Amino acid sequence: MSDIALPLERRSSDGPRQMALFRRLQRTLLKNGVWQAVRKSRLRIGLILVLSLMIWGGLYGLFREGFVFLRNLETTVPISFYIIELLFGMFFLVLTGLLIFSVGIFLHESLFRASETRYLLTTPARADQIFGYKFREAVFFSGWAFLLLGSPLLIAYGIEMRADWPYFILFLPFLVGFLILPASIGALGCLLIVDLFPRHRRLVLGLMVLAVVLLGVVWLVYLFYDARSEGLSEAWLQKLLNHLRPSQWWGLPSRWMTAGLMSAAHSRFDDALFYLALVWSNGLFAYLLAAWTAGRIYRRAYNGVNSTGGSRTANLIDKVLRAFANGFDRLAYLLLAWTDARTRLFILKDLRTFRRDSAQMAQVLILGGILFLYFINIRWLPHGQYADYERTLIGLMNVAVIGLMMATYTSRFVFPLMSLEGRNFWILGLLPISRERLLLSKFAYAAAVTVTIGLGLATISEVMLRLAWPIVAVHLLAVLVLSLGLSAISVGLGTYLVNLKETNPSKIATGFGGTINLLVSLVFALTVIVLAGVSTLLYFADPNLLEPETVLRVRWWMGLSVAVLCLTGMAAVILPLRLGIRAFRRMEF
Amino acid sequence: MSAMIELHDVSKFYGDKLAVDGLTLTISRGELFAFLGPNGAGKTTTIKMLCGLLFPSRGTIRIGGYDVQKQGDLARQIISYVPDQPFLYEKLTGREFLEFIREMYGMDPVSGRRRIEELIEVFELTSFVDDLTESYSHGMKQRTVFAAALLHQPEVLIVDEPMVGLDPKSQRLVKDLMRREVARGGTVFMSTHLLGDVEELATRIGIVHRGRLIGCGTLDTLRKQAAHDGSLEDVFLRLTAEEEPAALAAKEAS
Ligand SMILES: Nc1ncnc2c1ncn2[C@@H]1O[C@H](COP(=O)(O)OP(=O)(O)OP(=O)(O)O)[C@@H](O)[C@H]1O
Ligand SMILES: [Mg+2]
Repeated sequence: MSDIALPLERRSSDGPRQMALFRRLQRTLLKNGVWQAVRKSRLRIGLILVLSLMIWGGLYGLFREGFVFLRNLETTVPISFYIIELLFGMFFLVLTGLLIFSVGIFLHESLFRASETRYLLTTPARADQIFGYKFREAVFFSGWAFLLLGSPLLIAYGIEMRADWPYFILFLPFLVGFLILPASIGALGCLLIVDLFPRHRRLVLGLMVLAVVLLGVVWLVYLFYDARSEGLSEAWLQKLLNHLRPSQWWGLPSRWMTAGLMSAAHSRFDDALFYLALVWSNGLFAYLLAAWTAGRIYRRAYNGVNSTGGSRTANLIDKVLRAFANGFDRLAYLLLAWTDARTRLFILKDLRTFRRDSAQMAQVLILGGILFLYFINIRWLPHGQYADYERTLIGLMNVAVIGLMMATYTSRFVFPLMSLEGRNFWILGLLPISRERLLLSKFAYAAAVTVTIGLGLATISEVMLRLAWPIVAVHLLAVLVLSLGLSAISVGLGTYLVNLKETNPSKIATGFGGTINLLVSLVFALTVIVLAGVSTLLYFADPNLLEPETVLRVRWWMGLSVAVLCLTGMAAVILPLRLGIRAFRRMEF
Repeated sequence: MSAMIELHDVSKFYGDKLAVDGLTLTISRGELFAFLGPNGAGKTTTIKMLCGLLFPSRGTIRIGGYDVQKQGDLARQIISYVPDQPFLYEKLTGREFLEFIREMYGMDPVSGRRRIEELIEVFELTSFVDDLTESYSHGMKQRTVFAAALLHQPEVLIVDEPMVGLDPKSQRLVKDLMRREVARGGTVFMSTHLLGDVEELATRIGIVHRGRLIGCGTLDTLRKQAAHDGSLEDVFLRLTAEEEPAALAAKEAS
């Protein structure tokens, strides 16, 4: 037999050879993709670059302002050092959690459902090498947003601290190294969950997310409840800081990041290098562990996932899940009673596809959990101490959070809808439903969800803050404009920049079209927030301190900004939808 | 004659649905084995197990003497698998893809490149091999996939419905190639619904129905088994119909 195959001795050298091969493959794919984009869609790339730079600059300015604010606080309360330490710790801790889940979910798609890995598994490629290749891709896709957020923060911090030049070289390896540990944990979790629960892996993931979110909620509730009675004072802050201590535990990678970066900024470079080594060595060790595990269980897990489809008898878990799903569908059906039958069918199809897609469900849960946490934490703030004006500012901040969150939501979930429909376009072309109606049904679907959630959250927050009714009206109007506009932008651009090749929604959302869409959505959201802010602030121009004429002018400006808000909203609904419909009509199937 | 593909009592469950049921089969070097069966009979499932994508729920599979589950990477080194829905990297050119395959199988650069040029010629890829594969038509993709599959001169070529969507000329080409593979001493395992091709090419035919092998041998053996001296189509329909007495009765009545 041995004359048939290569002799066994040759095989041990396969690992490094395949690693080099996959690296080259990755480089070629990237090079070809970028090269093609440069030749075919220069405008798009330019737009992305400009908008990314704008976002980067905006974030940088924001962080600079934040640090200046803290420095000013320093003159009254000498705790800004601790606050920065705490904020960094929390920032990297939250990012650790997000990275674990996003890499895990990404790998679930690319290792177990993508046609590429199905192909690679039929070649002599080793399981751990395929894993390594897909792992690098996952880190790349999950990491760039992290770099876009982290680099302005750390540069602003370095400049604020007047750090020496080595800091500005060191912070990059810190950021990149930080990605590896959470990503490896996410990858390991993904492999183990899929291997142990091939059938109920989504349920297990959902329960884990829920558990993490609940733990966070309990912790925060406890925290604020305990500190509530004190009122907003130095003692209150001190107590709060003490309670947040666990996030500073030395065993957490977020702690190593904080300590390392702060040492570097204070020119204690030996400490900084120690922490840098800690971050990297732990990350690489976790990666080795994940790759070793993948070498052992990846193929078995793949077989498990792809052998579960045909059950006819349902166990209890299945029955409960199915009952839930049926209830969900029936509820949606009732809620959509106002649409006509065909549109309703399409919307129901989308909802059903959505709830069957584990990755999407999990991300909704995560984002929802964050929002929920945020609002819980607003609830426990000692707002008795705040003046009207400050409460209104908090209300405005909530509107801003809702808008920014919604912009990421719609870019992540609504934008890929039309692309995912792509494979069926030829059927859609033949169905007795007009193309406009198809597009509008997507819009109705997205808007129904965003309006309900957005207005719901905004109403809760405004009521809890007990704001004056004109302010509430302006804020709710802003949220309505945000919901409708963001839905329309994602549906319209989702059609205009349709990506018919890709079947993985997270890749569609993070691809070129998705990035453009996210940037446009963010710009739109910021515009609306600024307009709402102008009206809100003008409302507080004290009539007693101003001349009657000026009061009149202020009222006039307020009316104008509300009118502009409405017009912006209308434009954001009509223009993208028209763009989408026109592109859709031109499409050939 | 050495056994290249050996299935021993192989069964496969999807959940609790039995898709392949106690399949035992030995295919020798130099055979072109045609694997027939109605839709949903379990052909693709069997093929996925042959290349280690899925594991048998019971039984063992050996390819070239290697246990596919325990020594999978060794077995896959001598296999080429062309699935019913082949995969190509859209952002690679045809040539870059062939280069990738060459390195994946650890072929020597000089002779490997020579072989690539040969295959480009044979499959008439010259006019588009340097374009990204995303711009290829279905047939162009299929020809590229075949070139890639034959690049490392596999001992065992496994193809699932290879002719779908190919023009007559390309079909002829693929058939000639499979014949040449067999003449060279390779082994071909082909699942197809084109019975004409099977009559023309196959050295042995296996018919699978609801996961079970209900007939296996040369066309003549199958004719005897079906007690019918007609075309493969008639034989196939008879054998698969015998499994359903009601259908057979209806046929007799008419
Ligand atoms: N992933 C899966 N999950 C559950 N059941 C499956 C899965 N894949 C195949 N099956 C079932 O296994 C049986 C065999 O399917 P298979 O794809 O092997 O058939 P086939 O012989 O290739 O059919 P065709 O001629 O249509 O290609 C079918 O009944 C099918 O429903
Ligand atoms: Mg099949």
